[in-house]
Amino acid sequence: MAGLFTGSVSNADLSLIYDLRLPRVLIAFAVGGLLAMSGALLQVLTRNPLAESSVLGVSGGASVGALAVLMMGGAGTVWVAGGAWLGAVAVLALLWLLVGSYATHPSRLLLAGVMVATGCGAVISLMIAFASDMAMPGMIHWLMGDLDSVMNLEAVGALLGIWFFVLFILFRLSPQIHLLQLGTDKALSLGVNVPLMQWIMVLISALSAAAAVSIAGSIGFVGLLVPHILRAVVLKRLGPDQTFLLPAAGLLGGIFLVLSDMVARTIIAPSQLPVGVITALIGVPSFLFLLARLRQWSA
Amino acid sequence: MSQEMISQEALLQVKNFTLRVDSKILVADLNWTVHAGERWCLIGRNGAGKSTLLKAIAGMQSQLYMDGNIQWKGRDLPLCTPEELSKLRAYGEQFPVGGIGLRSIDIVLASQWPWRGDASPNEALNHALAALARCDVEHLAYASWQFLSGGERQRVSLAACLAQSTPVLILDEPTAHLDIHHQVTLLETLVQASEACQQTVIASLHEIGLIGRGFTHALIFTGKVGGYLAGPIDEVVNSQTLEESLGHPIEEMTAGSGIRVYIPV
Repeated sequence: MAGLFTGSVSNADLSLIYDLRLPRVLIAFAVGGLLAMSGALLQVLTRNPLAESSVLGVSGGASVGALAVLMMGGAGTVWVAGGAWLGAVAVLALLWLLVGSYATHPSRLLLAGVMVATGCGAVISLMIAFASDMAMPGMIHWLMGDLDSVMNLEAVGALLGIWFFVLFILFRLSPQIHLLQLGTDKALSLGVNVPLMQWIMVLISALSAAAAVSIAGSIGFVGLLVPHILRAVVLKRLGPDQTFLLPAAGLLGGIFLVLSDMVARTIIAPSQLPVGVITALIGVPSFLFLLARLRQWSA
Repeated sequence: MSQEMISQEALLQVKNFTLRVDSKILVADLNWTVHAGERWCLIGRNGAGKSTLLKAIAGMQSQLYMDGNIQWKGRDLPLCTPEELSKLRAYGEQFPVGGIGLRSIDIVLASQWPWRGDASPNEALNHALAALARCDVEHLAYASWQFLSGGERQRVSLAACLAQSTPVLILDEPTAHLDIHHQVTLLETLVQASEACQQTVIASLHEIGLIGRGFTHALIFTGKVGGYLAGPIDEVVNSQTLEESLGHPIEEMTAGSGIRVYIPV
């Protein structure tokens, strides 16, 4: 790879870069960005600094779907992502049925989501208990979140497309989302169509999480850590300005996961660690550090 | 049309209006007209329906539990879009809320949303600071919401309502949590704005001692199911009506300065 900088690049290196590294970096960027935007949205929606996509049960639903495929011996096929997507959408549909007409009470959504997530966790344990020795390692690996199974260009294109779509929507809606921070009544009195905005936020957040999780497994902490780091950095100067925070989360989340993946790939090379382990290992101490430093978070 | 004519035209007209929460009737067959520049106080016991009525006229209550007709400037309320309403009335909550990491200035700046694009960021900032100054919380502009006391939050919330620059202010217990000095100065601020530019104020109130300090009209929940009294202060507010409404003996006195005050005994 050093040849890249000296001008002489062998064909083998080139194909390594284009076929393996580049798609992986792009996927990591899109997944990280989607998870961070999903988390940032949920934190505004539920008025809870602890919210992220896993609390809605979307990650859990995706895991159940993916594990079901892995159990049936579908490892390495596109059906894993398909199963994960179906699982995530099924959870979303369930939440819709449960809280449909109560969009103005986000705590209800949070409660239902936590319950669904817990249920999914139980189903996952059950599936692991009954899994064959053949399927088990793949299932565990998927649950830890990993990017090395993604190598086809269609998946890369689709995910980048979704990332761009979500970023665009959030960029357009961020001023209204900003107003929702003042509470639903205040936002309503300022002319925001609150129920519509809340459902768009739930949908966008769940779809981003589902897209990310279905490709990369369950990667924790990006949705929690990135928006909080951003907030900590800009809070003093800008306040929690969502017109800045939401798009910035889409970018910083991507960068964070690319770097984490780089560490995961190289730290014990030639073996690789699942990137979900690295995000948590970096994420937990940084989060605790920020928590200790910034007293403003007593919200 | 002369200024006189505009002020005579009904700003808010509530006709044959009945309001329920579940099966409990809060107001029955309410007929109520508010003109521009009037300052109304709503008086009644806890749970009488003051907040719900304020939310209903602000267009923020589910239509499910109401019958009758509310018109703003001759237009049926359900036909008004949220954007139109946001330029017509500001609504001050009884329990204002702040999000993660919000500062006072963020809240007041956000309240200028209905007029977005009309002012440069600098003008908007000055407008926000002026509103905070009017409520005597300019020094807290960059303070975090969660470190403010109850009264300070109330004043920031009022500053946000003022910054919304609407002809109508609908305020749910604006004087709650305020110390005596700020209760009085805040009412004075409202009266000044109202007298200078015909701003209309509709506010619920528990501090009956403040009725005489600038309100022109009162809507009193009588304490009977769905009952109400509405009209100019002189006609509807006296110790009997207050006693009946609040379920407590009230005495009327005239202070040395000529202000009429009501005191629970």
